[in-house]
Amino acid sequence: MGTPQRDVKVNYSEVQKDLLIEQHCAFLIGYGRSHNTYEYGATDYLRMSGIYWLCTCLDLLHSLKLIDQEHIIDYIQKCYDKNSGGYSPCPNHDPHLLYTLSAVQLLVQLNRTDLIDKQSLCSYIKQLQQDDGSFIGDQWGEIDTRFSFCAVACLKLIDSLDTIDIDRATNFIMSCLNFDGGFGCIPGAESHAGQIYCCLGFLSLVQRLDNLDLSTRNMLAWWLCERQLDKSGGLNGRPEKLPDVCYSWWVLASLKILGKIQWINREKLSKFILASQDDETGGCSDRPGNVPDPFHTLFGIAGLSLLNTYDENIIRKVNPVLCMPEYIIQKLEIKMQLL
Amino acid sequence: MSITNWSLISLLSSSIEQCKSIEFMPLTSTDEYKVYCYCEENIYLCLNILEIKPIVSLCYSFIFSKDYQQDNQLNISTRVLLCYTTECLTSWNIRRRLLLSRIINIQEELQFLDILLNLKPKSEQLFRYRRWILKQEEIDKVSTNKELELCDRTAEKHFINYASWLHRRWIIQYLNVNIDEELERNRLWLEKNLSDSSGYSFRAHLLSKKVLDENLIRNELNMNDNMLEFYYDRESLWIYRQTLIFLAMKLQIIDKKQLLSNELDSIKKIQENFFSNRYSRLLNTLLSSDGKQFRT
Repeated sequence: MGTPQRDVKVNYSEVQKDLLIEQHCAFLIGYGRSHNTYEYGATDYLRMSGIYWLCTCLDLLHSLKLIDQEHIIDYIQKCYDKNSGGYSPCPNHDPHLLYTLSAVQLLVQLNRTDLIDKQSLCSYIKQLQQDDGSFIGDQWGEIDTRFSFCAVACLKLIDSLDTIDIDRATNFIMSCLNFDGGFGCIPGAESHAGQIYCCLGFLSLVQRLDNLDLSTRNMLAWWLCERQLDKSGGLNGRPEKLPDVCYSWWVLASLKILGKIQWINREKLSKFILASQDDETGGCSDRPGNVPDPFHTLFGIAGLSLLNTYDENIIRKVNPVLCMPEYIIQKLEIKMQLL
Repeated sequence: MSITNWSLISLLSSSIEQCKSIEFMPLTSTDEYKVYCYCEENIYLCLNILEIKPIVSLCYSFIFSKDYQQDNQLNISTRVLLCYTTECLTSWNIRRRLLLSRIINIQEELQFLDILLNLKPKSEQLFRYRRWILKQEEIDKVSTNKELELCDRTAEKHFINYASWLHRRWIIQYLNVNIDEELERNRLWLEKNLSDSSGYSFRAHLLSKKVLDENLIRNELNMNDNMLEFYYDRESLWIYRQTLIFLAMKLQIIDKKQLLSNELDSIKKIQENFFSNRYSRLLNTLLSSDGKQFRT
């Protein structure tokens, strides 16, 4: 019946079927420790986020106690830029909203919000909002819906959402809605699962999901569930792309926010994520057979959490909007909207 | 920080400045000396993929050293670093400052980006920095053709390239490119790149910039019919067809039921496959729910 859908071949009779918890923990801890590995240096520009992926994944696997908390907190402090009020990915690097969110998420998770200068952080985020409601990531002025999400997520975590103009920020997000129901990074940009997650996450945090009428929500949910590939069961981020484990997060969390997660075939996706584990080194890669990294490991585990493939005692419940363990969100009594 | 180290970085920097292309490959070092690069005919620069970590480490040490903060020194250290790791935003920010104080020349920097984009055709950071530079230049000095060529090249080097098509969308807007001419260029490009869903998404975007009417959509559907006759199993063609229907349904004057029924009829002529079946299911769901549901 013609060429099949673009996809990867997975031999499901031979791949990994069990969850390799110990190996993942070892992989993550090892990644964080060695200064001699290739990764140090080459990934300095995003290291704050790297630490967030690592810690969040370990916590989801009930293993946060394995990390050196003091060392991480010390690192976060070194990355604080008192001139701007934001955080850098690595000491000496420039501050940016993306790494500010990762830093705040980490401090919340490690129960050290006392170290956050709330006033300074609020004024940092406030001055990043533009007249049209959008957010720039740093002083050099690039706009992206991801930054809108980072801004409200940070503020929500420190209970200061009213720092910014929520109406204008929402209007900007809505101006990025495309005619296929998806969202892009700026008005008129191509729909992309990552951007969709950020925009839905934004609307959930400011509790304005009702701005999307029923027809749009249905269209968007349908666009999202079309990301599941028939043969491998994995999810891609856009049509004709190969499946990637990180979309098990962006797409799945988006569907959870829309209340349509049941439109994904759970069993097939779980199998795909498990097959992407590396049984020699631990960790998950983007798809079966590739090199693992903390980014894909987190999103693979978080995906399995959303799918309820394992009991809470094995993988903790994850919050679909903030990508943090749900128990932390409950403790802080942070409210968000889920359809 | 030895003088030899700085000489190494300076040398790499001038090689990069003079070259027309960069590649990373494994080069063999010996016990006596390390090989960091190899240059052919003064324009093809090959960097040793096995020596990335030490060079990145060195570059950072100079970039953040208080003894190497002169403009010309930062120009050298960031130029080298960014070849090895194009995503280091802080280094791009240093170069922004150097550009604003005219230490770096706009046209030369655009050329540097051309070379890096050949190496990393889907780097968001490279395209973003490029857009920032273009905004610093006087608008009539910006070459529309050059930018569109760059978009073509990067879109062809890396398939379904989000960053490349985003840049193209921005260029169309910023330089006020004629939409009909773009539609024709896009049509020709898609003929050679049938499965590029970003290319089709861009086409739909161009359509949405025109005054949408039945004829426009009918024309596009007819073109799509012709393609589907031979390429009935290409997902992108079906996705584009769906998009056209969604666009049509937004038009007030269209009779939705008629549109959807006509579609169901027309696809019967096409050889049945996974995508045509999926499309029929969608059409049926839309029909029975008056366009409100997309899946049961």
